[in-house]
Amino acid sequence: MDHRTPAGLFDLAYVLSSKSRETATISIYARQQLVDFQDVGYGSAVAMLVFLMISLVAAVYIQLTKIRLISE
Amino acid sequence: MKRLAKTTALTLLKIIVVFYTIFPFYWAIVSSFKSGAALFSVNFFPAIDLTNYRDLLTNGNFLRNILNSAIVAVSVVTLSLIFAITSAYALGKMKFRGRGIVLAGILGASMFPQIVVLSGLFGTIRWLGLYNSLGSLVLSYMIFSLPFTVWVMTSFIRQIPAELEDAARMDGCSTWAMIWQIYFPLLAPALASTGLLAFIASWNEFLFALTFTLSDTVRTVPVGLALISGSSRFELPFGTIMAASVIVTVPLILLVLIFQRRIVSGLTAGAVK
Amino acid sequence: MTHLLPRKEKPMADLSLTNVRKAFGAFTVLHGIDLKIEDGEFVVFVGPSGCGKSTLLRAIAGLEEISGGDICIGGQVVNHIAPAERQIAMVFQSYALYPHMDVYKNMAFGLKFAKIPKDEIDRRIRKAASILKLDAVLDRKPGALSGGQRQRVAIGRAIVRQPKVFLFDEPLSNLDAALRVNTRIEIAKLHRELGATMIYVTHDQVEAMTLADKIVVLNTGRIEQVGTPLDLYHAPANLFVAGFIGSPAMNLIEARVDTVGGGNLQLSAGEQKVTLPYSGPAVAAGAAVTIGIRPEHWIPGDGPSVKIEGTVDLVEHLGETSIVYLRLADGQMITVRYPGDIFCAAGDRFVAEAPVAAVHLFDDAGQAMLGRRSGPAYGILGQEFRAR
Repeated sequence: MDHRTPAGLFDLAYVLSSKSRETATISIYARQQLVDFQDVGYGSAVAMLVFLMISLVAAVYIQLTKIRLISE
Repeated sequence: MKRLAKTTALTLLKIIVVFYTIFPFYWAIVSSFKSGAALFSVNFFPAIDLTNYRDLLTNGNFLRNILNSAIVAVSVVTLSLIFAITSAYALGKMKFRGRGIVLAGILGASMFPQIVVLSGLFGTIRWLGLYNSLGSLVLSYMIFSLPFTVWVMTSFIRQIPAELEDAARMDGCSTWAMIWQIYFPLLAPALASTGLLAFIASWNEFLFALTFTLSDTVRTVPVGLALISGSSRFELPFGTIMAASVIVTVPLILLVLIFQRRIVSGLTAGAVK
Repeated sequence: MTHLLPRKEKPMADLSLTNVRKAFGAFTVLHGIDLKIEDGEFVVFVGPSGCGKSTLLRAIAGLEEISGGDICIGGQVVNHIAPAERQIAMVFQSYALYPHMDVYKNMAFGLKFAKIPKDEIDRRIRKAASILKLDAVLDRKPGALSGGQRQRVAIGRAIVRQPKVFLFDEPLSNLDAALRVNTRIEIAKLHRELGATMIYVTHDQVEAMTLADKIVVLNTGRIEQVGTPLDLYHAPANLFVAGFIGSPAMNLIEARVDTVGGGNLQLSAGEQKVTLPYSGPAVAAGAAVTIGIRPEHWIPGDGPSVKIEGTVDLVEHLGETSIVYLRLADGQMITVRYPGDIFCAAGDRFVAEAPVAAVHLFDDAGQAMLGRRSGPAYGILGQEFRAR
């Protein structure tokens, strides 16, 4: 959905400058490894790294703002 | 004096925001009427020339792409809403151990960037034999549409008073009938708005569509659009691309306009008290 | 008004609860309820909030699974029978009308599931609508109805089911005061017309006193007393019922037994001495007791009386009555209600006098020690009414 785009920014960057290294986002880089170079292991490692970074930011954010996600 | 300055600044800011959001679309419309070298001259009010549109609509691939997008988006919305309303009933109205964990899990799943699930999903789709088919897109789009629809539906269904369900039970309503004859009509406004968001997301999705489909006949509009090529390697047919963008955006605008009337709040007014 | 069901066709709808228990986890809400309700009776459950009265009603409805005991309706154990098959109907506090259906569909909804033929459904709804004056609004949705109309739709939805037993869960608490009185009278009339068994939950003792054939007073998940409204008023079995029924509440004065003998009890409350005729079970001198006298019973009669002296704290003039708040020498407060006006002011010495026949007495376990009491008779008035 729209709210997820920035972290994994892909489509705009891909369409505007698909293969340029300077403007490639992490998502483009990971997909390049996964699909274009068929290096599933390395590509997945990149993807996991993205996930860990996002989880970390989310965890810190939730801690700092004390949002209650589940209200029983 | 201070107040006047404040109002002026605010108005100016509004104009900037509106310009920032509307202008690209306006520029797309303007550009869609141009072709060749005219594209690179600045002209805000060009003559209306529908050549680009005619080319597109006689191009079988583009129409096929639109049809594909429609099939995928409608399937995703329908399936998501069916699953969402049933899950929301379980998560919002039934008490069971681990309900909080399930809800947190669903929310967690919605935080994965698409790229994270791409490799695993790619393997799954190959294994299911769905590669290069519309089914692969329906399956993968549900990954992001479901967490969102389930969460929204769960919070809406929780606001419906419990006595309504008690009354239905006294009337002999089964759980299944309860979901479809009581909750479904009551949640219709929420379903319309979340369904619309799921539709827009599916309609616009690019990464999965690019990765899981290969041939022209199963491509959806965003990918088809990105891959439109000109007569030579060095010419990007911006006019045609812009015309395609406009055509693709129109259904979304229409949907929003139609559903805006149906997204009426206060349908539940008078249920209790 | 016509009967929806001719009385001779009406199924027997007596109800009996045997040791009904309900616990939510470690928290017990109902501690073994035993109760018999006769066919056609209007029974009211009253009690403070949290006493378990709503839970008991929901258990009878089948909306709460009971943890133990048996619920019988018309001689059949219904513990594991679905709510819709218990031949009962319920009117909810919030009415719980289906907001997306018009009045007609709201009433037809349950009948549809019961597989009742369309023309029969139509006949029943038209009849109920005419009884409840809903004919004109059958095609409206609940949102377009007034509070009173919604309430009547909720009752209509129950009537068309032709249940053995009607359950009402505080049905009047969302109405304003004037409408509440009207609807109360309507419900009483409906009970007379249908002759059906009705169980009604409320925390409002006026509703309980006016509607009930039989009142069940509940407190902390136990039945404190079952009886007719006047039984509860004149012969409360214990301190809880004594304090709960009646408004303003009964005066409860802590006292001690001085001497027993000669058919009399000598009590002292602070410095005040009270003598009561007594022929109940043996009481030891020195035992703690509670004297109970209703505010409206402080009217001197011809016979022996009880006198209590205090200082006036406050006087309230309500027109038809005057309420005097007295402070006794030991700090206890008592409320005295006189018909008409009374002329006294804060700080005055005041002697309140009540006939001994109106005095309740409770032992230190809170159980009533005397039998049925009678308030002071407004002799002449009462006889005049009786003569006509």
